[in-house]
Amino acid sequence: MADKIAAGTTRKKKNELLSFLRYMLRRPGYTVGLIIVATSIFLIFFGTALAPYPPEMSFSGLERQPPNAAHIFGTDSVGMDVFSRVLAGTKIDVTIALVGTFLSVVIGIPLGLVIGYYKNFISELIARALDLIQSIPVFVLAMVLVAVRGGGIINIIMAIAFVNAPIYARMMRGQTLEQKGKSYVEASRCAGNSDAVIIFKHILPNGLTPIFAQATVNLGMAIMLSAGISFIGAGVKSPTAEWGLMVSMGTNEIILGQWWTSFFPGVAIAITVLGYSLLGDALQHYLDPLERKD
Amino acid sequence: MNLLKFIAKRVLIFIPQLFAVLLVTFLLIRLIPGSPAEAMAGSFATDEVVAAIEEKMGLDKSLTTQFVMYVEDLFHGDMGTSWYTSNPVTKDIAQRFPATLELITYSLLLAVIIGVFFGLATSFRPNSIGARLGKGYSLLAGAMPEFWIALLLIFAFYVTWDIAPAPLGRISLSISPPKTITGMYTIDALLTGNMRAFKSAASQLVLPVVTLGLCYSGPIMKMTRTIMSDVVNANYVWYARACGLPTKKVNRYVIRNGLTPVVTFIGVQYGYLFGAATLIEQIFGWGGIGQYAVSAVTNKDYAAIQGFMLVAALFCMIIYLVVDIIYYIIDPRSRA
Amino acid sequence: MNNEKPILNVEDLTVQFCTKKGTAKVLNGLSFSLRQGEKLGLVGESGVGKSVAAWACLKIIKPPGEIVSGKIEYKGENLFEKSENELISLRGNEISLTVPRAHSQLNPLLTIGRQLMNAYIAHSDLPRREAKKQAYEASINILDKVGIPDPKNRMNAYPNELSGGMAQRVVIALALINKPTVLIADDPTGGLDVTIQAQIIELLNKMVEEMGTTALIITHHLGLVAQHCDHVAIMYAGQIVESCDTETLFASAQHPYSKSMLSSVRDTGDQWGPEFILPGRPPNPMELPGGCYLNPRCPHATELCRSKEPPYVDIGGGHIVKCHFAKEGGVEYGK
Repeated sequence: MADKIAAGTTRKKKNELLSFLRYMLRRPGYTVGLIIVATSIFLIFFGTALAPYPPEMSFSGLERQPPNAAHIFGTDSVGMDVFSRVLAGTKIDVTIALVGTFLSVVIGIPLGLVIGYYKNFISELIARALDLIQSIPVFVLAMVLVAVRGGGIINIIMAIAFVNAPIYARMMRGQTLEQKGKSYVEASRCAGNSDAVIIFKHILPNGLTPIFAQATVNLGMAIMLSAGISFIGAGVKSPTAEWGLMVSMGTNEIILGQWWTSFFPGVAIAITVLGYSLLGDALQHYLDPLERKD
Repeated sequence: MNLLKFIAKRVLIFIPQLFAVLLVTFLLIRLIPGSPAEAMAGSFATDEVVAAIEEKMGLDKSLTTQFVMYVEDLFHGDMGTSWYTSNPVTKDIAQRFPATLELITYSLLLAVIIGVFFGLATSFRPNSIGARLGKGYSLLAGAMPEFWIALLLIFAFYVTWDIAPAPLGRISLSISPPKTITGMYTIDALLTGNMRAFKSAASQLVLPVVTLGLCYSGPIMKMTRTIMSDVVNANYVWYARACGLPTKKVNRYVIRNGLTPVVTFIGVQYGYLFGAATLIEQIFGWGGIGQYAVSAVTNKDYAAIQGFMLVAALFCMIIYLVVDIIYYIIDPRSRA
Repeated sequence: MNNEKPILNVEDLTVQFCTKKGTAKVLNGLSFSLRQGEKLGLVGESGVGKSVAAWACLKIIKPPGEIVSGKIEYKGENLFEKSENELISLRGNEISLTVPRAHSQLNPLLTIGRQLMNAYIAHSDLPRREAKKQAYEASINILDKVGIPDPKNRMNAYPNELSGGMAQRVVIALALINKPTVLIADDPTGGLDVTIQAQIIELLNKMVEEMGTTALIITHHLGLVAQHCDHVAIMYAGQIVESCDTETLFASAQHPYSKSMLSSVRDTGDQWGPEFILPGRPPNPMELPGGCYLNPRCPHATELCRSKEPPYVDIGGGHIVKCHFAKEGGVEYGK
């Protein structure tokens, strides 16, 4: 039966999306996740516009103001409005995570397909190399990459793409190896279809969904990763409105009892990561064939 | 004996792995576009200056020669010289490594205790309030950045309530560290019977360890729960019930079989803690190799960065080696 | 019917599985009884609820299953009224179960010796150390009896080191180590090679004879029943549709479903030709048909069969048939 479903991936994508939305909206936890993710996407485009003050402008004489009516999240040590910066920070943090994860999927999928489909010495070697890269802690690898290439948004995105690509390549490779042995793929080959047809018509469509779910979960991790890199000072530089950097800028103030500079951007990270984790969780449960989905 | 044979075999695999790690760390730094020499020299440097730095670092030679030199040096324990601390990197790292090891080991212990305990407690009743709370906790713990939690804890326990010591290093400034034996203050202090140093070192450990422990218990809890929920309904557990084994015994089967795969996962977490330690050491002024790495990154200290990455990779590989051996001992299926 | 009191009496047992997709009615008023020393074969296709019935006899229903009604009497006492502790001391001690596909039924992390000893100690009243010593002896003894060569060394083997047949022998040893009164052998040949199947059945038969155990053998294999069982009960959709002694069944089965099963066994005689084979498959327990559960497959079905559940009719000599057309002397299809 699985073969039949797999061979005929002519599900109507639009209906699928709608039914997934319905699935999430029926569960309060997932609804929260959906709202967070939607808000974060909205803020990518309109966060800066909605900010009450220019997020990268210091107001002299207004340094270290605790939260008040004019600055609801207070101001930081150089007099920048924390609320404006938290709103504007969405653009950088979420974009880095989205683009970085997207790139890693785009690199990982074809790589996994090729090394899974064509089995020879080189593909084995690549697979081993991927294992090896994955055995190094993600943060260490990303930090070193950014250190060597220098900070900046593009380099953080590249680092995220590089450290995550092995995950998807390995998943796709596993899927390919599994699908390759299935009888419908054999049948397709016997019918004289070329490798390209088999890969793109049969193997790729079946491997995509679990990778998609994994990527959604990893989005949250990517946000944490990029924030962490900027936190240690290897990522974007001040005065860019970026959450990790903002938390880091508030480190010294914390000791002085001025908690707000670090607190609010951290909350922003936590909420956003939670939102993407919930979305990924929902997707994984939704795609689980053993679970009910109405 | 079979176990020795297995260990020998596993160590044999370790050697090519080691070379691969050396190659990867080497290549990562060399092959990435943009010469490290240029970055080191700064954006205003003339070509001559860059060339001089390249020559000094051996970057003008062919990649193969460079790699051979690199490996040769490594075998003599030479990881190059840090231009920032002007010490040999090996010495810097050896000095700082015990601090990091101490931090992440206690953190892992705490994470395992919290994660496994609550993971187990909630998996027997998957729909109870406790299980729901546990689920929420692991979601939240996974979402909050560890560096932020560290700051919150400092704010609460040091700034506001003043019950934790200042986040300034591994031991109070007024107390001299214990005589170095292992390099881990708590252990050295205990070995030398220096209770004053022990108390101070232990209290300095509390906040960073709690931070990492809280963050990393989330995934361990989730993993424990996932595996346990499969094991609870495994055929052999039902059959044990059918054989009339008392509930206590059946639960022992469940726990033992459930925790076996968790061992691997805990090993992976140990490696990840190594990465997270960089962030936490920075906040607590820990002076371990994590903080060393951060300063190397900000100062473009390439020999130090390379050394750090090598140590991190080696650390993980040794952990995986140990995990494989433990797994061999506790799970007979792995012996087939 | 024999008036002797049955040792195990299952009456009107109804078990349902409430899932998100609906309620699966797996056992629908199952009744049968086992008398001391008897060997009863419970036969049916896969998916008619045989395993659920086997486990229910120990009062173990895997979730989301629930016992809705009925009773199971062991030596005259209703199992459903016993406490969990009483049940635990009964399971594996007085009523034992063997399960098919033994590899996944043994704890992969413990040696078979440890598992046998655990089963023995669980039902021993002796102080711990003595119990252990006895358990060790008993384990080696039973392994030897179930035909495992070099039992002393094999005690230290892990399940994954055993072949399928060996693992099945270990499961039989586990079930018999406490010399139970009743043995329930659920599909003892399941998942085994044909040659091994014969060995396992031989062994089971030998052990039961030797120990004087009352046995319930659950299978889809009528040939096996023919050789070893005194009585047969044919099961369909969670009910017994025909029960009688073995010879009677093979000579003159009455229920259409029994005939269908017999005709699928090649060497049961000429009278059960392929013309008796019923089309279709057992019904989905979530969508049971009304009336007689067999009616969609039965060539003789009438309006009565579609609307009303047939009664159990004793057609003579304890030969019971659940069919509207059954009467004293046999089944006669009417108009």
